[in-house]
Amino acid sequence: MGRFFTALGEKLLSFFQSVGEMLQLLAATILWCRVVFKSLDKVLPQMGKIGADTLPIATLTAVFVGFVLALQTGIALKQFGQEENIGAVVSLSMARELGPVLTAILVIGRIGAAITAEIATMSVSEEIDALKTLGINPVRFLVMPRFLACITMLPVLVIYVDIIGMVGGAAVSKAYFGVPIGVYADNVADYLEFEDIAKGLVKSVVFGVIIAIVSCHRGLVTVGGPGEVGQATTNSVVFSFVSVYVSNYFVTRLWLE
Amino acid sequence: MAGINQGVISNNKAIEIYQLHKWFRDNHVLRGLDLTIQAGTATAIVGGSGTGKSVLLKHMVGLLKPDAGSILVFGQEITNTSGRKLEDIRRRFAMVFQGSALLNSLTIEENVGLGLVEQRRLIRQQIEEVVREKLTLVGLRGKEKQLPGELSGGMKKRVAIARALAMDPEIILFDEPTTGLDPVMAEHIDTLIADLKNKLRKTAIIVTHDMDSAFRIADHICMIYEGRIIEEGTPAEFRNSQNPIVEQFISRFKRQGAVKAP
Repeated sequence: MGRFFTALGEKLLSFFQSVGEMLQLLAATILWCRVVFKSLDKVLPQMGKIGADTLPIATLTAVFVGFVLALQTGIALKQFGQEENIGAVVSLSMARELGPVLTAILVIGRIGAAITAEIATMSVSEEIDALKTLGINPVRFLVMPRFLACITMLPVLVIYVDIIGMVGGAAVSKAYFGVPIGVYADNVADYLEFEDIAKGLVKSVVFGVIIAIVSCHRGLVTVGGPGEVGQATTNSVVFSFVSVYVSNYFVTRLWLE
Repeated sequence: MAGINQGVISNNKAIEIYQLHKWFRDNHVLRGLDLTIQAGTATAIVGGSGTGKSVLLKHMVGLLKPDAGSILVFGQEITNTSGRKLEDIRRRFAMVFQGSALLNSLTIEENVGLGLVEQRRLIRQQIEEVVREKLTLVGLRGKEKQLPGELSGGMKKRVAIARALAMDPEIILFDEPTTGLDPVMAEHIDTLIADLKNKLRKTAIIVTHDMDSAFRIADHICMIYEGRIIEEGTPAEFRNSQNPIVEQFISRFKRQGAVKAP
């Protein structure tokens, strides 16, 4: 029993230590953002990488989520003869929740994991130490560009995912429930407000901050060898997922109050 | 130590370390280590694996913070410095890491020029000039556009040395520079290090367990054992040491056939 509580205590301590270190890293990263214009040669390639790596899978995911949303809501709404309202359900779900959360999950899998693996490999092969001895701050050189790329590209991807999801929904509405595209579009326009999209975008910025900081931190603190790099990557993905889900709830609640 | 004397004494001392302690969890790695490195000399720090040689080296550049003790670099205490001040001190150092630690996504010339590019003090042409000069010095002209992955271990080491030299440091730290290299390449690297000291008047500190290499390049050899320096002296003094641990270390190295009879 005593051993159980010792283990639990150690886990909790290391959790809070990680969170503390991540907040410090966030503060340092924000401070380094002042030299963004001198570092565009590092920021822009990171942005391009996020876009190029995530777009194909984002398209595929969004279109099928749009399909299934329209299908499920269409079946339910058909019982009340309300098929013309599919557009409202699909667009509101996409803009408020699914767009930001799905995009965050994709970016964690494609980009967050890659960031952790890359930086962790650099840590274990002493490249981070080498940077320091060359007078190069690793936060400025590695973290800040990835941070800026994440917080700018996530909203862009979310807009894209929202649109593709709605288009997917329109296709299924038309094919299965015979709702004309025009009716679907009008319905979207009637119910979807700018505020819904904006709130989704704010969420996506929060997720971007989480993904960048968690991924970079897990990479920077890795010590050991290739085994630890794999472990760090898994940890980083799990930590990012949980943080995104938890923060999603709290950000949503914040707006209701 | 008397305050008045300190400045005078420190004049030709590059690094002074007093009563350095370092723990990693329960592992007491450095146990009250004292060491002085004279400027303009080559000092080899030898010892078995896991005795804290690399840890000691990382303390000198402030990559690790000691749990107790003090480290003076050119008379300036570094253990409690951070930020800009630490960066200023680090600028006097360069370090060649055990695994070379080149950035794999950058070409050879980008790796060598990295520190200078990020410093933003020189213009591009000047940086290119420095990179060319340093690559020539280590015998790697013509490899500028290649990636580290395309080079052998020995070539990577030489690129790492070129990268260190590009920063024009006063002190260069070498972490196991000849480990994992064939004897010919090891000798080549040794010659390079000896030249740095003889021709460029740099202070070199070499961590190694290769006694052959230590005897070849060092003016001064220190042996680290159980977290302390247990023996130091010139290569000749070291060879004739009466300390049983030192004798054993040298003889074991000879038995492995790695050392040619002196």
